[in-house]
Amino acid sequence: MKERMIVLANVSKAFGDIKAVDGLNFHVNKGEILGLLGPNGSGKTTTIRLINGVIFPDEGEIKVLGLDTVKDGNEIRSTTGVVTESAGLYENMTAQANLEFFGRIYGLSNQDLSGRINRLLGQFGLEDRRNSKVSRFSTGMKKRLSIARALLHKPEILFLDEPTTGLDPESSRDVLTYIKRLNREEGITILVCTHNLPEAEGLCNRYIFLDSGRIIEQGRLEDMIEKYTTSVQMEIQFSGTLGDTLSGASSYELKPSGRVLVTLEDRKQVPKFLRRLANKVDIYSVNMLNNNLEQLYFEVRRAFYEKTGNGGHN
Amino acid sequence: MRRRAMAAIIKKDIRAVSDNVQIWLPIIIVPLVFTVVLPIVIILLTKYQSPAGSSAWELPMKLLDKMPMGSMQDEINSFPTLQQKVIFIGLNYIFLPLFLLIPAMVSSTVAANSFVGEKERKTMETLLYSPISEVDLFISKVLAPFITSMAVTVVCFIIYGIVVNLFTYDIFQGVIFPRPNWYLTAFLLSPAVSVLSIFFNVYISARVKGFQEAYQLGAMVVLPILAIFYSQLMGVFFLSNVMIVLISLIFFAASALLILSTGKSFNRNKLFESQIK
Ligand SMILES: Nc1ncnc2c1ncn2[C@@H]1O[C@H](COP(=O)(O)OP(=O)(O)OP(=O)(O)O)[C@@H](O)[C@H]1O
Ligand SMILES: [Mg+2]
Repeated sequence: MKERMIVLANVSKAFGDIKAVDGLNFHVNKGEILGLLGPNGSGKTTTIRLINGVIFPDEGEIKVLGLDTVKDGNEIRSTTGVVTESAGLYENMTAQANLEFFGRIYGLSNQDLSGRINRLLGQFGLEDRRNSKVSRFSTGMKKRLSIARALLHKPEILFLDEPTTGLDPESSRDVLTYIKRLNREEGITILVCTHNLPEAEGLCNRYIFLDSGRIIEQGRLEDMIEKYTTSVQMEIQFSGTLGDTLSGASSYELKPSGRVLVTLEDRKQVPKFLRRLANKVDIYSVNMLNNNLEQLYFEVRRAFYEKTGNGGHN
Repeated sequence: MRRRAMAAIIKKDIRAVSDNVQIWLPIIIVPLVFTVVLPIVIILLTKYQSPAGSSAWELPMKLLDKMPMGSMQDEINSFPTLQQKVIFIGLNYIFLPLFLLIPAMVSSTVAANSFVGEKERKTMETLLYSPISEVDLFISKVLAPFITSMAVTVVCFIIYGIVVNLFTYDIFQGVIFPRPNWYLTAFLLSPAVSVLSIFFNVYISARVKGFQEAYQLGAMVVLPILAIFYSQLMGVFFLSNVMIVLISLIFFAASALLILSTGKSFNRNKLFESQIK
């Protein structure tokens, strides 16, 4: 069995009347990237705070590396790194000064620190800006510095709260590349909260869907897609005469420039359908439309609301 | 290791103020006015204005009438001329409470910045995600304004001494500053004022939304100082050595009460639940 880095057992936390987290049970395995998904206010940030022991659960128990978050908070925090929604950097200080400051807070020796800072600044492409004040940084640079900051003490677990919000596509891609590389090369376990589903899809190994502090679904993308989508939707680009090749589809719709949108009742029909089609026409591309995370997200939420009778977005 | 983390926080909190002109300019101007400009004005007024009917003479003379008998009277009466008496009362007694505005304002500004400013800029959150103990963090955040305030106070004490002695030397044919009551002011009452104003800021930091509000509310620490100033002018009491020690003790006691009632709210859990969004 894989080593479990984080285990939550029946964890609840309320702020006044609001149940921010309500009976959470899940674990995070060593070396995985877990995506925590859910609408605003579903309890993602609260979950990160609970796991890091900066707030305590009303009920339940959280273990990080076998340590209890209520009793051993500081020990846990010395093995975790958190990138908060706001960058959390000192704007009046330079990149270098920020890293030096946090390095001292984490108890790094001067020797370790200067080597570590050089490496991280290089890794995150901030070497030539090390002596600029953070207030002059772009949002993307701040985010990268913020991640570098969270990695100073070589944490075993990294928490990323909406790491790409507010970034342009290029900066987002850079940040995602860094995150993936960290996970691949250094084996860091990562828990990431995000609203950007296409990004999450390329990043995470496993997902947890939250709603009002509760888990409404969890698992690997393939498994959840199998569970939630029986029918398949695809967009096919072709040239030639279709004839009766589309008769196996439950519905289809012809689109301009040689494309057709096809819905099949069951994903098991896909191979046979495509084989038959390929015999008749030239196929240039097949685009699966409802097997991505974004589609799944809405499926999961729709199913949840049907089950609970809850009318929709809260 | 703990020491290093604490030193880093203190250094950073002091730099946050020294890097920001809008914050440190008022900190510099107020002491400058009270230690250089005002004393010089008073001294020059007594030099070039005749005693009769002049406002510069009025207050110290009234005060002289109300002086308690004994050593304080003797001290004043040891100066032969009226001008000497007036200058001595003005610079040694009337100015003393005004000097306290320096530690009060400096520590209040730095404390507002280090407690509320850090929350407002959302760096407190990052800091609390680190493994630093709350006690270490609290002590560092109290020491930053205290050290700044005491450094400014001592520098001002020296400047005031130089200005006073320089401008009165020809009048007294000697050095009149500092007397024991000023040593007590600089090294006992000023620290007491600093501590009180820092702890008052900790108290309000849990209740305000932003730095500006904290800064304005924090200015309330000048009230007891103004009370002392007017009490002395009205002749309620004089800032004798005993009185200075007594006031210091009262300030320290008030600080202790403040911190006993709010120190507990400086804790990760409470900060995250009620103050960090
Ligand atoms: N310190 C707090 N005091 C009061 N209510 C809080 C506090 N922190 C969180 N909440 C409430 O708990 C709920 C969950 O908040 P949380 O910040 O965990 O959501 P989130 O999933 O991170 O949302 P977002 O996507 O907007 O970041 C919300 O209703 C929020 O208003
Ligand atoms: Mg959040």
